Amino acid sequence: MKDRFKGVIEPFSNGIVKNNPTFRLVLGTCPTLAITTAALNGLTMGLATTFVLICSNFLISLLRNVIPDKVRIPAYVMIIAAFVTVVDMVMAKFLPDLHKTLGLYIPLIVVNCIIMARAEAFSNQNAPLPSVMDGLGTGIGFTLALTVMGIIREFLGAGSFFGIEIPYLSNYAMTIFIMPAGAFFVYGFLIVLFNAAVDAIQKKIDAKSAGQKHHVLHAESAEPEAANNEGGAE
Amino acid sequence: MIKKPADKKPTDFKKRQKAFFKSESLKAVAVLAIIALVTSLILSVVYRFTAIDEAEAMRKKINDVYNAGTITPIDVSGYDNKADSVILNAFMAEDGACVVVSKSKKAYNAAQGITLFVIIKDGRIAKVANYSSSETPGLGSKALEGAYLEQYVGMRASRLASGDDVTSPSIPPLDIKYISGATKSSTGVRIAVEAAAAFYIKEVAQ
Repeated sequence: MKDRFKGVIEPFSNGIVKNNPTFRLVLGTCPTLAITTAALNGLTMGLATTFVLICSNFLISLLRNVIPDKVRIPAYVMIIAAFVTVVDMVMAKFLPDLHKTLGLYIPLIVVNCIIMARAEAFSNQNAPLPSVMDGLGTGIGFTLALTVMGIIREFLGAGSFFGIEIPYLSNYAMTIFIMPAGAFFVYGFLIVLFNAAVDAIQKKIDAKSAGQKHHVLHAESAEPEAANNEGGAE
Repeated sequence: MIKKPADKKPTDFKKRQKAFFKSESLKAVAVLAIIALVTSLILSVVYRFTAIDEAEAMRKKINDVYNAGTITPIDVSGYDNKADSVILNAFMAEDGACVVVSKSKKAYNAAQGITLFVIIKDGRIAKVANYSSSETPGLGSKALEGAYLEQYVGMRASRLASGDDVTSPSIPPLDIKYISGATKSSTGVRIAVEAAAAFYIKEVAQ
């Protein structure tokens, strides 16, 4: 029961931190650099990708025993393209301004390597529920990365936060941050920061578990010794 | 017993038929066809709920920008567009104003261009508003804000239509301000407004 629960939760948490597609795996770089000129753009793009990830992961996982291996890539592309078209149509109807701003990057989700990578590496080999959790985790990881990048670039480059102009700051905005050069700068900076933080946490966890292991081993080795001593005393 | 060649043929055919139906290739084609069919069905259902009536959306946007009342479309299909611009639509409002939806192909985001509503009344620009564009937020976007577009209000359409091509020294050059650092966006706005003015002079005023 515990293993089953772990099998569902682990893909979710891995997608956000350990295998964060943007900062750890450096996937989906094109939309990350291009559309994060504003926080809202990053958030919307991330949510659109999350929807496609969840749906495509679920369907691919459901059909994993039916789709012949030889034609799996065209089958995945067809499934992903269908969900991307759904997102495109829904956004055009209900969020026309954002749809126009994101423009070509919405249809380009079809060839987003994050989605293809999760289909090929995870949902192709796992049951629907873990696949959905993997899609959700990876999507949230991608959304968080894009939103954080958008917030930083918009704040420094345009002096606003989610489109709300910050008094005085907008007059001193550093335009380079909303230009392509600023995108690379912020991206590189965040990669360093994220990886340093994750690695430090991982080291701490490893040290803790190693300490516990050592403690258990020590206790196990101490027990027979104590038994021998006791035996000796007898 | 001698076998007749006629008996042999159907047996071979049946075997081949069986093998064909069991083949991987057929399975692959069938699976792809079923996936295509199902996805098409999903898309057709979504389309029913998300189909956009472009004309209605345009009318709504025009009414948001300018209280035009009932608007009548003007045929723009035969109009000879100025360089780097396209007149997408034009309408006559109840109060005699002409609403021109003008697109400039020159912009920082050239793939999308800059599309503006240019409202011309009695030969002068009455209002300019952004219709659709995605210029850099905080920089190019400033050229699409009301405060910047306001400078065109009151200008003569005939003067804007000729742009800076006039050579007579008695006619002063157009006093149009550009936003520093957003020259491409400012130029795009100017092209769109001038194109709308040229359309008005050619097709409506005459």
